[in-house]
Amino acid sequence: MTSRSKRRNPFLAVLTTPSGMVASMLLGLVLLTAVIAPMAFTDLANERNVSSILQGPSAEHWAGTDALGRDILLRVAAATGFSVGLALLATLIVVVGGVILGTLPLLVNRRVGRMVTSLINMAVAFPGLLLALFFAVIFGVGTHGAVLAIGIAGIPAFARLTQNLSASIAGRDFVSAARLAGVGRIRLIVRHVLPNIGEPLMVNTAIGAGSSLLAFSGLSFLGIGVQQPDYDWGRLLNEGLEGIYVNPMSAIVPGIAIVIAGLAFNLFGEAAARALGVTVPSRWHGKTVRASEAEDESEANESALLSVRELRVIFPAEKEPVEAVRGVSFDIKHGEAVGIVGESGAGKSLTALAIAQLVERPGVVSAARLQFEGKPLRSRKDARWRRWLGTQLAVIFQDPMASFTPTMRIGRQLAEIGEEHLGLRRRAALKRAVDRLRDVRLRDPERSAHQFPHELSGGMRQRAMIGMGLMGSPSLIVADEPTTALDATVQKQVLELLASIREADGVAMLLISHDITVIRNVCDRVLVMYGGVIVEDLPASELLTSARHPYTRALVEVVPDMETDRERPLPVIDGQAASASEVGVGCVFAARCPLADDHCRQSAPPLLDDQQGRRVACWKVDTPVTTAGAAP
Amino acid sequence: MSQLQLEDVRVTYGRGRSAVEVVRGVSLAVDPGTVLGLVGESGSGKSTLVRAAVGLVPLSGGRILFDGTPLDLRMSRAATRPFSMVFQDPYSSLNPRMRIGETIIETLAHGRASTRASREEEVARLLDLVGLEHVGPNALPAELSGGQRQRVALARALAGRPKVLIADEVTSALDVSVQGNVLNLLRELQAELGFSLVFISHNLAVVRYMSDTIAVMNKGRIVEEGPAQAIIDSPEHVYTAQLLEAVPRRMEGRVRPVGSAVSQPDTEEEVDT
Amino acid sequence: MAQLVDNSWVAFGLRRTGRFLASIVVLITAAFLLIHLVPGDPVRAALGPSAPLDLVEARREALGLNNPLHIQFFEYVTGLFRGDLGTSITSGLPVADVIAERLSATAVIAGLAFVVAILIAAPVGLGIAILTRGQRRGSLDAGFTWMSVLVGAIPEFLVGIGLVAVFAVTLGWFPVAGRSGPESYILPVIALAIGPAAIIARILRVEALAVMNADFVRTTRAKRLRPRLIHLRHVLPNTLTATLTVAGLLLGGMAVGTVLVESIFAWPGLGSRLVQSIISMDYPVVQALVLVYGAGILLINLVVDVLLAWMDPRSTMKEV
Repeated sequence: MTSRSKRRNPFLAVLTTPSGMVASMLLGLVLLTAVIAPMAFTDLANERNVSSILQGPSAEHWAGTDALGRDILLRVAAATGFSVGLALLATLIVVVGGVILGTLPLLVNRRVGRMVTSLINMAVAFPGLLLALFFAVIFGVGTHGAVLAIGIAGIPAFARLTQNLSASIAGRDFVSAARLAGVGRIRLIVRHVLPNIGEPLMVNTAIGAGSSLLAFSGLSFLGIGVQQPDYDWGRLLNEGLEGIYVNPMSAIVPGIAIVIAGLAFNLFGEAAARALGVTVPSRWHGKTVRASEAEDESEANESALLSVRELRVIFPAEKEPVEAVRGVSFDIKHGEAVGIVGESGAGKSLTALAIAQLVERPGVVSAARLQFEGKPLRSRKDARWRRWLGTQLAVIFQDPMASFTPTMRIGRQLAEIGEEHLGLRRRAALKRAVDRLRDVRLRDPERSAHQFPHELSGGMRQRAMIGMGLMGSPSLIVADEPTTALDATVQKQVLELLASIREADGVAMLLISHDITVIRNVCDRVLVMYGGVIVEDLPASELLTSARHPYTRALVEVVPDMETDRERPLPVIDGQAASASEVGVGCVFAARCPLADDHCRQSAPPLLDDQQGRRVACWKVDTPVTTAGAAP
Repeated sequence: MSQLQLEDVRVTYGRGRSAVEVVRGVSLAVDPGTVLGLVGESGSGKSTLVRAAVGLVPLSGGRILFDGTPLDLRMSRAATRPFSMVFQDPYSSLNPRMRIGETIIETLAHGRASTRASREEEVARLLDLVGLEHVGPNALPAELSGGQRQRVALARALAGRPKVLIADEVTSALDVSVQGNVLNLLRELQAELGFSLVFISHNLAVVRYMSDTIAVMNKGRIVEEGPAQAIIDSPEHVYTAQLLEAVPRRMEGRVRPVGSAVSQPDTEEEVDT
Repeated sequence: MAQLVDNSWVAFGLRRTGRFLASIVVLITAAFLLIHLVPGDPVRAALGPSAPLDLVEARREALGLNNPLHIQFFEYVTGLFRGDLGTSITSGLPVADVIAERLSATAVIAGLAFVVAILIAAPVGLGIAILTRGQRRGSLDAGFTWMSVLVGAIPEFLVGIGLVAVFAVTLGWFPVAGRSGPESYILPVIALAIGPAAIIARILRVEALAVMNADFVRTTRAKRLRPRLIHLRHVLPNTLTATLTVAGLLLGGMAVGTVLVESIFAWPGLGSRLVQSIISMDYPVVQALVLVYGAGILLINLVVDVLLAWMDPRSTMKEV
């Protein structure tokens, strides 16, 4: 899928979010003060005034005076440069040391790398302050010692972060490709690894600067950092604590300064993290779309098991809300297997999820009619609704590993349905669960029931998921790409299992897949979706012989199978699959269709029913067409 | 000539008690200018095998021969590397921070073109070869689609004028309608430039289409090997037969419920760790 | 199958204990080297430039500092096993006595602080996640984030000073310093607990939201389970693993935070003694306290790892 985004300028990206703006301004203020205040206020701050010792806040001295009559507020302001400067210096040591140690395992041989990693891991186990105290003892009490101590104490955590980030980059294919090309290790790190971990590193540097500032203040406060006659905020805090009975402000003002500066760095780092990492807009400022309440009862189709009219799924986006599913209508009869086929961005999965009432905010589902077993499907969330759907509608998802709760045993996850909706006690529910696992042909159902999801293989997990759907007695199974994640041999078994369930119990099925061959072999009827709409609706048996929409025909042609002519190039479709956000007015397929003309591009064809159980949306439906030829 | 030979190659992951032998003694030969299709399911070891063959993963046994001489596969800048590889995931195979021209040049730099102008010319030629002349060398990967990225990866792979190109599941992550583009391109270039191609896929239909010979891999071993059509028409190993059986055929009827005469007993696969 | 579980637990136990012991060894070595890495003569530094030479020499001899390094190390380690943690340079008293006297004061407030932090953070974090998912109640979400960031960014010593200034000096509700009755525990514990509580609550919320968007929670919604069941049985256990990792780190930080908080409240614990010893350069005491704090941290990490392994059935298999 095309993403036409240009490379964002990271700084602009940070500045344009509201929290980023605030944080940047605050940080800017702190840094500015750090530069200007020492120049402007140092002399004033050092002015002693013996006659006004230890006074509280007054008009002349807004925060009062200290034991030597010096203005506290001025002292705090003048200390900004020193405090911030020392923190930045320590951060420099942390970052340089951390990056070098963190990328070292990539440079040296495996054994040395492992040793470095274990040392870092051992050091990381200790909180920074403890390490800082340790090194402060060695380097001595005082400013120099404190900078070194805090710097070195911060290296292990930063090194570990760098290491984790580099390791994940080093495992990516483009690094393998560069290694294959003979690129040297140094260049690999400098040109491939570092640029791709730069952003998280910078974010953590900002946060680290905040931590260094706080750590420095802590050490100075304890008397281990900056020594008299120098002063930083921590030192001022120490002096202030001694005078806290007389003038609480003498401690509070330096404390506030520390908090503000620390916050400035932290907030900036976090705002940057959010701005650089997030792709989905967090707030939708457009009009709220309410699910339409009006039900279309005009053609109440009592014989249909599932009846869908004008289904839409809408998501918020940067400029305008995006309709990922744009007015889909179809019925499923009792016992019928309907397949939805399409490529990425077609909206097929969302259609299934919307029907199963599983689309969550911020997505909004609306439909003129959404009826199941004659009753509206609208989310009411009361116990009766839950029991009805929990037993009558089964859903199977694509990735069985991710779709089972990792911390709960399989049998228990099946049994939950029995306990919640069928009124069974724990033992009876578990027994039913084991029976279901046996029905889905797991070889040792008792054992599997006792296992965790990660202990089963992919095929077994998917069968367990089917078994879970059978705990009730569903009249409809919604299966979203159930075999995509499985090997071909296992895929066949799972599809056979679904077929036998259908035959045994007359269960209807809505099967979603990108694989048209699977759909053709399993389903009675096929809905072809593209760009959020249905472009054709026809019996599966006619897919190869009488498909009418150019896209459907192309889909059938482009898939290589065992009879594809090896002498000729494969047929292709120009362009790439469009997602709903990318289609404009006019026919969704116009951009790639060999038959498209201006009329097609300007006006979307309606989905017309030929009253013989087939529908197609195409202006050129009666034009004979050959598949788009092989384009090199 | 450019013959790639693997002799009893073994690859082990992990150490001590948790060591797993992923490739268990594979011997293969790739004749010059031909296409070898390597097919197998997940966990068969096919990706690991080819990564070991090009030196990305260390061997724990056996050896690799190129043109009859054992290949020292330790990374060395000066070595003229006869292999290239195109990977499966189009979103991971290009450095997001490098313009595609630079990515290609990086592979070039160790070969012939030495002046800047000639390098740029070569990049333009390669982009033209893979049908991306309208995209240009200054594009960033984020601006390209999956299919276009695979073509850039192909151009990069060709930049080193490889004698052997390895294509590891190169179309598995692409939409069906664009897979043909990449496969056609690959076949065309192979015929035109004459390199040997090792084509890996789990999709037997695609492997059959692309390959002259096929090797079937299962659980770290090659279970069958031979000319493509012969393997398809008369498989000798039971695993090959299973794979063939599982491929849905165009002319075939519907999937039968279990219990009918045609289906096979369910095999219980091993638990993946 | 039971045998498989036993084996992997035993293997995990061995691995983790091995790591623990290795870290202890490194810690002991580092603590030992502390005195020797200090530039100059540690005894002279502690006793001051005006102390008579023979006193300095006597102390050096008593501390065994004139022996070769490996003998000193041997003496040190065997001393540890005997319970001999060294002798203070300034006071001449055994350090072990100091520790015995002060350990409980530190351990109590650290332990209480941890409990308080979890008791506050867990329901708040989870509750906010449940209330604000799907971008509901945006103002609650924003308010919580801002507050938790603010509170989490204030280090414990500043919180402590603020609490003293407001509640002890100005309002007089609590004692300003010293360990006495139960009311004297409140301010130190809050000072230690509140920052970590805010951080844990925030992380818990982020993790809970991530889990609630996970595929397996979608499955529970497809099973149409009651929301309370989903949250308690499926979301919470999977949130705990990530949160526990962070909580473990923070607990370690809290333990070391006692160094700062005890200085503010004149709390008779190990932390305040550590600061005194650093300033007065009483290295054997510093050595021993670093050892005690370090060993405490390693123990906390070990407990957290074991808890994590027990809670997440996948982790024992994947340990490197």
